[in-house]
Amino acid sequence: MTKTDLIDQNRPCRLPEEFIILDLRLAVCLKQVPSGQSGETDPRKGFVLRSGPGRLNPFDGSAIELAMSLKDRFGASVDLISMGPKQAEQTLLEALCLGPDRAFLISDPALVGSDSLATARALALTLSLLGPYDLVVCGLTTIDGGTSQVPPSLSRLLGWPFAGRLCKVVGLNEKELHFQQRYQDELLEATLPLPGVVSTLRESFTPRLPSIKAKLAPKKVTVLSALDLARSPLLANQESLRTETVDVAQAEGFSFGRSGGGPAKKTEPPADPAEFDPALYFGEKGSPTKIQAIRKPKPPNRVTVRPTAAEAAAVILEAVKAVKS
Amino acid sequence: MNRIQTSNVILVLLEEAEQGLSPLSHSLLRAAGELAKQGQLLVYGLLVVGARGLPGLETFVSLGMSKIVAFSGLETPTAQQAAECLIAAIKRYRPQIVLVGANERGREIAPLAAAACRTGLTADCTGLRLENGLLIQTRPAFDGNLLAEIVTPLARPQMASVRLSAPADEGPGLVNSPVRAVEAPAALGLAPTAEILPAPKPARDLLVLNRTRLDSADDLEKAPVVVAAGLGLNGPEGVAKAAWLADKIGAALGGTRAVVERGWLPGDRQIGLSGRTIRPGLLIALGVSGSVQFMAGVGARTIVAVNSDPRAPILGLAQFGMVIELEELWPEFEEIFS
Repeated sequence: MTKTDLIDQNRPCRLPEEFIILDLRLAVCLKQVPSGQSGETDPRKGFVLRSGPGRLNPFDGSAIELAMSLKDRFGASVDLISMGPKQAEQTLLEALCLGPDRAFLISDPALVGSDSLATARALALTLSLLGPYDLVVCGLTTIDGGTSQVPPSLSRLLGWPFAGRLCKVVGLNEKELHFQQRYQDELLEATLPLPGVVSTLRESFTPRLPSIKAKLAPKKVTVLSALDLARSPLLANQESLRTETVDVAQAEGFSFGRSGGGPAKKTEPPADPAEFDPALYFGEKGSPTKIQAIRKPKPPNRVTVRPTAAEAAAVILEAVKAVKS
Repeated sequence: MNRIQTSNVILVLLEEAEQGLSPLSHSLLRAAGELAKQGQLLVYGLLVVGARGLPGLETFVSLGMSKIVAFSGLETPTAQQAAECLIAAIKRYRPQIVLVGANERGREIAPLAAAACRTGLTADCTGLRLENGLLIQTRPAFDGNLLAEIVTPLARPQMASVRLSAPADEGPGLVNSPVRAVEAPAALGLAPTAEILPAPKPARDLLVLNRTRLDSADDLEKAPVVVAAGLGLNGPEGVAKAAWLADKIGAALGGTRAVVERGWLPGDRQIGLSGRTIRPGLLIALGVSGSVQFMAGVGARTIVAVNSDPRAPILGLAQFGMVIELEELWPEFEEIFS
């Protein structure tokens, strides 16, 4: 591979003069979503039922692809990290067939009911525990929850810079990632200092097919519990779980660290991992938002007609004419 | 029960457009004005402005704001820069409620700020109301067929990203929130107070090397007529017919998530909660069921819906709901346009 393969000739070269193996550590955060057309929901509580069969969130395939393309081009290790029920192991095993090196699943009843902040917190602590990583890649959003809040929240909790909507990678070195990001009205070219968090546009990185070699290779998923996260360096020094909020926390009455447990109370880091209480950080209690009610939208109330094709076409053209005049 | 001390402020993150504020900002201010009425609150607007400075303050009087907070010195802020400004304003004013527009940039800024405050954030709200100081945030959920009401009982501020909802013809200036006399210079015929602060900078951020405007990008948003393609078109051929019709009648073409998921239309054509928001004078929905997911992206004045399924929710939402097989329609149009 030559340098010209790696950079756009029209742009100033931001890469080292000679191609070198960078040996960076990449992590991809991904999610298993329900397989069905629409996820089965618990009719009373409104939770998405995650006990059924699952598949990889389609947006996350592009995140894996971006990481794997960096691995191919620059030499890097790729770890997959997911949070979910035990059966998400299957989705991680399938994703390993695309070539990543290792897979980790945080699975614990204490995590059930986590909102986007509690999810980002669990992922941040996991990345800190398994790291240090140079770059974390996420899909733009998920097809079930669909908030797209976890990647930016995660970057903030880690204290790392964030770049969203990546559509092309231009280059990579030990200090920065050089890329393009696409918004509806703008195409940006930028660099992100490492370590950092990025999200990918789904249509820009089409996932590769599983390789036979990877399919045949022995694969395993390491399962972590919520208690394992007590050993996370991020929790121990509280750097990024606390620093930036100290000022805000001094403004009386803001709740930080743990968000749902109670007002105006900062969480001190546990002196002993054994004192770590996952319920303060994750799950329903550790999530600042709660689902209060689930309801059906108002039923339709307008009269509809069964026209002939000619009548229907006429209605459509009339309506167009009315708007255009 | 709730011992959290906050001020009586609703903080709204605003966006400048070519002339004044963006339509989404007007929509946010309408929502904030309603909440201000329900909860005896004040609306503060937050703007991140470049060297050009603030647009005329008198513009804001009619929009129901008691204060405009401007962070200056950032021409085109990155998401992190905008988030730093929002965090600084949250620290300074300790608002009860923070509203951010749920567009591409707002979806990055809001979670950065919410995570810094370790508070809750509800994405893509389509309805907001206050009950005893608690913000009841309604958003489509579970594949868009149900509505969830979400609250942030303890952490503050209560943060929500909000979808553009009002129809296009509802212009600015409709909000007349009652503001308290002491802090309401607007009521006395004076300009609202403005505070101009230097923009804080994130410690580490991306460095933008180059920007390219994408011109055709807002065709769907600006189109007076939009044709929406749904699963009822039964495949890429049906979608091609819809595209042909859109071309013939001078309409922009969009589609539902299901159509995009199947690859019948590219991702940037998606209308709805996880896609783009349209506000045309006329929406022609072809084979679109009309899920909450889809309708969250629609603020059309008139909807004409064609569907073969008489139970499709869109038929109840449309001004003209017509039950007919779409295949029957094409020969008719081909004849008309031949």
